Amino acid sequence: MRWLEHVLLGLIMGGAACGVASSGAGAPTNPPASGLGPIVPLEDSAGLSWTAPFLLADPSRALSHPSIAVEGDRMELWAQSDKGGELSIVFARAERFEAGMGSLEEALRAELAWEGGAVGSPAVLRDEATSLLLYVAAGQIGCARLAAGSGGGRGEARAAAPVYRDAGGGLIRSIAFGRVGDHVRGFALVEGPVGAHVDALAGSFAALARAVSAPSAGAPSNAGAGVLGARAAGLVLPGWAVGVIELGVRLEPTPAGRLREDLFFAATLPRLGDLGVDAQPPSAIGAATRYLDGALRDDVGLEPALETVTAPLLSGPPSPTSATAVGYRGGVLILYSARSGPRMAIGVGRHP
Amino acid sequence: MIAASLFVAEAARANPLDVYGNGSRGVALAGAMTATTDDSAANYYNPAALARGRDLRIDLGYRYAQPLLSINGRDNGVEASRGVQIGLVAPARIGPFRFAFGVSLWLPDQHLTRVRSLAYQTARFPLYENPTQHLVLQANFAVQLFRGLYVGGGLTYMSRTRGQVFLKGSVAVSDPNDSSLTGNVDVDLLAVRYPQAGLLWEVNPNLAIGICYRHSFSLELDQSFRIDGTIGNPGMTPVVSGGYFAARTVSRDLFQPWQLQAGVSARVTRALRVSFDLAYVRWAEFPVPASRLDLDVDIGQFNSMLKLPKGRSYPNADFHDLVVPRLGLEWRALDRDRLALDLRGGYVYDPTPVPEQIGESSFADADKHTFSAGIGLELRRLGPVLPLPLSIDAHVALSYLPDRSNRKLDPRDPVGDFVAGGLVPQVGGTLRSRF
Repeated sequence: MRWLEHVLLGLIMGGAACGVASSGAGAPTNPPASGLGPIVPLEDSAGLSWTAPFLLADPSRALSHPSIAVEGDRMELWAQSDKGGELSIVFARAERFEAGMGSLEEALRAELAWEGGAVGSPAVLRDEATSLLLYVAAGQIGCARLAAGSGGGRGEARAAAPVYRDAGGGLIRSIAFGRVGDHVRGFALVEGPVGAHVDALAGSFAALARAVSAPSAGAPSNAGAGVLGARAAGLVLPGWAVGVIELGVRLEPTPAGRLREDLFFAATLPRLGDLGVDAQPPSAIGAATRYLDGALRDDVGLEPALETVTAPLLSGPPSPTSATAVGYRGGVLILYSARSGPRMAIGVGRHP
Repeated sequence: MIAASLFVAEAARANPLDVYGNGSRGVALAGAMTATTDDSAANYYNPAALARGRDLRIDLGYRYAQPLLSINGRDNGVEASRGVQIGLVAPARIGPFRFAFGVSLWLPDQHLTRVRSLAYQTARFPLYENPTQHLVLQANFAVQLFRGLYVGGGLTYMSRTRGQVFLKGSVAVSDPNDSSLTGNVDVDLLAVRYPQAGLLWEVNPNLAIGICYRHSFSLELDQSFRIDGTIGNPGMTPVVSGGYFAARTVSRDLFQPWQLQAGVSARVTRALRVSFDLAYVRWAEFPVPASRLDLDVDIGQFNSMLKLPKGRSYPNADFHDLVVPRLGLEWRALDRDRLALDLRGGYVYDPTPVPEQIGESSFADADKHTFSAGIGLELRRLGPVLPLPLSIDAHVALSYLPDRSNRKLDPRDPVGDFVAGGLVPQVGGTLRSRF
């Protein structure tokens, strides 16, 4: 029977030799993306009607600090606009992100005295009936209600006073917020007398909505005090990060039903050599994260600590200066700001 | 082509017959065939049954299965498994002794075998990917010990790869075109055989009991690359002489757990046959499906400037053993002189051997509920060319994998929590002829 065995082996080995030449077809596609890992900027492809990796760009202004709301395929994007030093908040929408964003519209401009003539760092919170826009003005946090419906996205009313200011007198430079039920959770980058630090903020969506609905006439200057509470975020920067520039957040249930809180931070990298007087230091996007199992707690001591990812998720060139993420079609889209030509623009990437 | 294959590897488990069954009748009866099989499918289900018949049998079939499996609600792109099944049973007798040879071939029509490696962390359905893309060849021998008692066994053949690439010569520093290297490729495709054996007892014409053992096997891909030589420009003193760089990767190509399957087949009425199998599957020996890469280099005085990562080890996969019940029903709906019609149905509950993925690995799987149905048409007295019945079988089967959640311990895990599940439909047919 030896000959038979040789024939059989010949068949197998011939098959093996043919098989190794086969293509890579069959590799897993659409791997899950609820975790944290390297961000891959989307590339130009036939499916995109915009110039990847920049989803939103305007040659007349610098766009940064994106905040995004998604409903099905529909996407609305708010960003900070810097037009010749004039800071405001703009927004655009898309039926699906491959089709690109529609035209930029103004969402919020500084109007109140306390805002000091500039608003920025938008963070949009939504429930079924109400959309709120938290923003930074004059180192404090303000809150506006956004118009509803197809023409929505613009601020139609706002709290007469800041809804939060740092108790230690620090100036808030960047904020990022998420919402689960009535719980509003977020982070603020605070520049204090002894340096910058990140605080965790928490509050009630309903309380914020009430702060907006309160009549502005006669409101005390600290009308918003107590709407948001602060505590130490416990963010431990990784070794590659020198200082935090901006914050982003994702607060979403995982596919397995747990609540996950991701804090994205743009941080400067160590300077290598002389970059010139006007040059910006290089920066990268890092993240810290935790699972919030069970009920949300306001007591920081009872929550799991933020676990910092050791490696940057996205680095340049061009250097990204802010990022946020959103669950989209079962995966994760990351929106970030980076330099596009002479201006900043909003890019989009994915993980993995 | 072969050299290219040295740098890829694969991680896979089980084989296409374990996952999808063998023969249309076997799939329709949910694989409860240890005591029921009587054709070339016995090469897989129970080799002892090869000696059951007295006719030469040639079977030819085709089967198509398309996994529709998703992770986090997104299709994972698991490739279809489709191919031809060919089987032969050749009985003979010497005096009072009856015996039979059997050969069975599963021949995929996409890849005869596929070799691909995935990063350890990559989320994938390990039980439905590469294992279903392999050629399987089985050869068995069976003998009747005495009336109604049969014993059989044989080998299943697979191949394993071992390959090396050697380069020797000098590497020019300033202009790579001045390098002078000669290469050798040494690749072995080694045969791997694993045994199976079975016992079948026909207690009476209406009752049979069988038991079958299929041994475990694991295929390794062992591939290495080595370059020996000097570094420097031609005509000048070498910067490094006698240096080398070596890389070796060892991957688990395919793993099948050993299985012990016992079954009973009873004709409970004149028209109804019930078969029930129980299999014990030793998944606990499942090896980690990851490639181990070892690097070594000697570049003389520059060694201290170079730090190579050590080949990492991976935690045990911790799969657990299973007991898999299978139930099949076959009803003779029509029995005429020239025609018989069988209707078949089955169910198998195949719990997942994969533990919840809480660490670095992301092996997706879920309990499987497989419902099957089939039809068998037996044509009789077709003429002098085919004096014995010709059977035409067809089947459909659907495996349902309810969503299963996997919650990672470390929130920094790049994959994160995931939910896996889906459907695996399959359809096929077999033509069974006796001579």
